[in-house]
Amino acid sequence: MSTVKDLADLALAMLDGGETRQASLLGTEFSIRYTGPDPAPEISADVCTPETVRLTPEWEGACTLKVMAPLNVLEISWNQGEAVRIMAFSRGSWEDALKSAIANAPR
Amino acid sequence: MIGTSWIRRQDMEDPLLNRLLQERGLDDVPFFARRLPARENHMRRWMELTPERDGAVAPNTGSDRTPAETAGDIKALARELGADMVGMVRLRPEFLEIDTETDHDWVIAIAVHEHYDTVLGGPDAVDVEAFRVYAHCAEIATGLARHIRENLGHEARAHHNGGTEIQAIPVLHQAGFGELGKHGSLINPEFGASFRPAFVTTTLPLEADTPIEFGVQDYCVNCRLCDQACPADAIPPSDQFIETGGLKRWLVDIEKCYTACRLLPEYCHLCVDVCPYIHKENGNAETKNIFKAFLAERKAAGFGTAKSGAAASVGENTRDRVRGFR
Repeated sequence: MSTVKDLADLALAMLDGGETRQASLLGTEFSIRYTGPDPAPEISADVCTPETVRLTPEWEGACTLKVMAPLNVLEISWNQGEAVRIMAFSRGSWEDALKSAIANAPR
Repeated sequence: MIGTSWIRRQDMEDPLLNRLLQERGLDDVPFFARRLPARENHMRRWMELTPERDGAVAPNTGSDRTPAETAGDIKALARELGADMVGMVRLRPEFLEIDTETDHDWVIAIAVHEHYDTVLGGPDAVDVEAFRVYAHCAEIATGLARHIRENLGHEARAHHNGGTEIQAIPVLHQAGFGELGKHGSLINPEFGASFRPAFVTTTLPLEADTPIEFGVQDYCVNCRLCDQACPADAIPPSDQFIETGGLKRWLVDIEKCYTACRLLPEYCHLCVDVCPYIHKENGNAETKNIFKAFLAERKAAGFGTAKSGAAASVGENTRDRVRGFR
């Protein structure tokens, strides 16, 4: 099963350096949006613990990634070297569509 | 087993809610800033039970009960403790919070229903009723886990509002509690969506229940009641959904939902209140009358109906205007 990092990395790869992309992948309407420095800092494999979230209410993420497929299936925020914070994440067939699109992308 | 499921945490442990508070210059969640003594008592109850979620396991003396018989025993005990629904399934990584490790291989789900006439009594009434039910669920799960550890000699851990690592909806679905509705809650044929759960994970061998179907997913496609009633417009149109394991999921826009259920100082329960499954399958005439009167009150108060297409809006004192008429 893919991790949040796996899926977020795939979504970033779909942007190919841009900030937004809308595409139909295997019949699923995707809208992917990234905001932050270019290139995007590496997304940590660690997910921020609830305790840390509670203790850092003023935290701000320099990077955000939002994947709509067509609803909000993945939204994360992060800073370089820090655990990622998940705003939304719902598993579903969109994961396979995203993976297939990357696997079949022209090289 | 290591969990793979991301679970949205409550209150200040949710980064999304933190962000929304920050954007609005708020230090605390308006919903929780309101003080209701009865609600505080219920919260205190499940916090008291937090240390009892797990504990020492008595020596396993062996049992001649089959898994099916044991499952029946557990269901009988759960009902004796006050559960309205009990079911069980094999634990899967996708039912467990990300990175949670456990040796447990079963999860028992219990649920208690909210009294429909009570939740329609106003924002304070629904608030206290929801918290009462959560506290009761915590007591039942704690009692079941303790029984399994101390009398049956198996590991068992309670999961409730005082602490949980369980993703509720998929477990409830697999355990046969109901079908997923458009409002994101599970719909049960007897209680509609008006119930609250708790869980026990365990090594005790059990017999699995199976999902049920009674047409909810199809019905929700054409029923507009919850999405029209939502004051935050957080429930998507029927044709916007994702699929997970063959199930339609009309993902609620939590950012919008929070504007009604966390950023206002009152409880929002409208999507559940207007769900017709509170009476549709159980055939309870009295509940049907209460439901119809409630919808009529909303209409008379100027709120939209599925036919008029006019939804309520955030910022109006929505619940005060649609509850407490009796």
